[in-house]
Amino acid sequence: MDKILRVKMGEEGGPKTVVEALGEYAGLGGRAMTSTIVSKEVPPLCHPLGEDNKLVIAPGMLSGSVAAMSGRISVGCKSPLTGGIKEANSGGQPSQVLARLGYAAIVIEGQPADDNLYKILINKDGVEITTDNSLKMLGNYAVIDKVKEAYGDKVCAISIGPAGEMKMSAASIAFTDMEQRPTRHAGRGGVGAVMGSKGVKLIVLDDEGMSKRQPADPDKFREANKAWVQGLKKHPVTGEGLPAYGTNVLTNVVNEAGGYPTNNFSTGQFDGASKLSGETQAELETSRGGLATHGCHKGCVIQCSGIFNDKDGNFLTKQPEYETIWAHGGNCGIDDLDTVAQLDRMDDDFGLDTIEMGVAIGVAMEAGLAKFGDAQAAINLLKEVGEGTPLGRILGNGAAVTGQVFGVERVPVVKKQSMPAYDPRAVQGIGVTYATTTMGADHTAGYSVTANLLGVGGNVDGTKPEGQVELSKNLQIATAAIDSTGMCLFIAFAILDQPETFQALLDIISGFSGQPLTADDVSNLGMAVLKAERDFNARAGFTAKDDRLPEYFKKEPLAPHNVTFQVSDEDLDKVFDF
Amino acid sequence: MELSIAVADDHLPKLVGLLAPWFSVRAQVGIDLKTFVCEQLGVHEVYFEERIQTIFLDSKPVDDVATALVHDGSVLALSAAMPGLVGATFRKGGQYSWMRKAISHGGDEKSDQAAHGWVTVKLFNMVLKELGPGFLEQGVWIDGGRVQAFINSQPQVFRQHIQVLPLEGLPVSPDEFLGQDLSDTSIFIKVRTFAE
Ligand code: SF4
Repeated sequence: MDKILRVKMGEEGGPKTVVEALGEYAGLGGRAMTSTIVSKEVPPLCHPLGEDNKLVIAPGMLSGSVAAMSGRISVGCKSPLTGGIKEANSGGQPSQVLARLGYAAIVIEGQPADDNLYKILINKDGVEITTDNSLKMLGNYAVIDKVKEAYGDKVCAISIGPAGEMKMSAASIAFTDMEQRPTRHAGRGGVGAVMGSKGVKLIVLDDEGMSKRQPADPDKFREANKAWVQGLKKHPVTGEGLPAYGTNVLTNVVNEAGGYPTNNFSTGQFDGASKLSGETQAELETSRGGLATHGCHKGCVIQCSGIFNDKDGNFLTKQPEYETIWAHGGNCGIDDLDTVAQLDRMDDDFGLDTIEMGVAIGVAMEAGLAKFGDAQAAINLLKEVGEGTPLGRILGNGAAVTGQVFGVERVPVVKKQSMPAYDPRAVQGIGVTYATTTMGADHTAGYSVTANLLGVGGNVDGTKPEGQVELSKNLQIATAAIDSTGMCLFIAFAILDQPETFQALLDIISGFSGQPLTADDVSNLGMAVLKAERDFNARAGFTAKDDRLPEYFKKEPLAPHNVTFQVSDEDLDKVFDF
Repeated sequence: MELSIAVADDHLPKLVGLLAPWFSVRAQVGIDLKTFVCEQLGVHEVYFEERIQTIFLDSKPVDDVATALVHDGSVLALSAAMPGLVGATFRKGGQYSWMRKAISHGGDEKSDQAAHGWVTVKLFNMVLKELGPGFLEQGVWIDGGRVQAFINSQPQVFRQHIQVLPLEGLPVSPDEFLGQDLSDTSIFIKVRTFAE
């Protein structure tokens, strides 16, 4: 990974590609790469869908190696949804393949003068960019069928669906999985709209003839990787719970806690939760010949994903994640897994963020466009998005726009991005992260390891408001660091609970790079990423006022515990005082 | 109504779905949660300490299993460790427990009034899989309509492995059992296994 590919879409005579050395970006990967490039090169006040925005796609630092779990990819830009900086993260095959092709990032910049759609092919011989208007308004599945026809079943692809072409703020970018299906998405923040605004529909990656990236210290790397895999396998979350039930194992538990946002965040428990649960889902999947345990990319040993077949045993979609099942399920009062799976398939095909769409439909239901629990109405609303009808375009631009158009007060967004599946009144600590992250409401932003492990901030007394703030800060730093390695965030709890597994991770990174690495280095990396992101947002006009939850979370008590969000604005403002 | 289900022993795990989303037990209450789970429900102490990492009593996450008391009418949910930051906040006594302090179980005053009462039990994820068969063999109370719906939802091949026997009564076929209106009837179910 010693080069950056720049795709200049606005050049005279048509798009051109330039391959550059890494220069000042040497050593960066994943979120560190995307956020540094965006922060340095994108004018913060530019229009997100204009020529000055850049779309950066970067494999993690360890991607392309044999390090287990290292195949996550980051996508960065100025977000059309939030107006701030965005990093959206995805699984799938492209991270490994792009890294093996030697690219630390693809930067798509400028804008074509024409309305053509472009396709980029990257292989061992170089880069080719061509117009392909036959792809216009095709869903991601149809696009991939064409990829298979033209390039065979070994390549992988990055694509957008109609939502990206229509530049909707909920548009995602799809990454193909191990079965060459477009099921993995950089979902959040409208990154697909930015790709659409550049006129790029498809990137095909072919690593035939390329080899795996080799570590600088093979012995240290091999030993560390072995300990790493053992650590992940022996932990009850990464070795048992996630493989058996996926992330949807959370449905029953969050619902029991009264923190499961139901009917557009109007209450904290859903009567139909058990029907949507990971336990029910795993049973259903296996009974139909699907899979309850499956990886989203080669090299994943946790395998939190699966295959969801329809009633006739035919592939419908990958195992929908907890967030998706909540957003399209309980948040809309729907308790039917088949409906949720169908909506997931439609989201993947149209190229949409499942969280944003579920929340937007929930807001539409609150506005009276459909009744909570009406599965067919939800399907019809999503169809409108795919077709780009006027109503569909409103919904496809997210919950904040939908709420504004239909005059709904209860709109669960921060920085215009929809909240995920945990009510911040029940779990107030997550509310601190929702409010203050650079990304807009995001559950993964402050997700992972402890302050003590990473040595950023010493012991934290979480029982005090300042402790909650301190820990949220440390979690956000750690998350930014993990997002930069290419490691899946679900490793977090094995490294949290097992110091030797955390050490194995440090040893993998240093065995790979040949440089010594300490926990402090990791936290400094995370801190640098967050500083770059905060700096971008400040220059884009964000202030402390944007680091707030919507007012109703402080006013409306959430059943069954009847609690409101209690963390003060003054405390929220202390999160980023480093 | 009390009934026994006989099932070939290697099919017992498939019946744990009967226990979802909840079942009831009649047991001694007014005692602390740990004593209740280990002594009244018969869960091994080591399993309780190590495997059951997430506990809710009346929807409140529990940290101190010695001060939370189980009462008549309590709802008790048991789960393994959960993924994600929010999952980790629910762990008993975990370092993130402060994040959900607003809803945590604060403990109860000790009571000397131990008596018998009804408790609703929910088992989730690995705990359902691992403890479920034991509960079925021990016997639990489940809504009759749900038992019928569960048996109805099973493939015919599996139904052939099930025999429904009213406890101490004459055997009835699954079809006869399914023909009765049991929607508002709580049934005590005990599962027996036989070698096939
Ligand atoms: S744990 Fe899940 S999300 Fe993470 S890499 Fe594996 S399959 Fe993908």
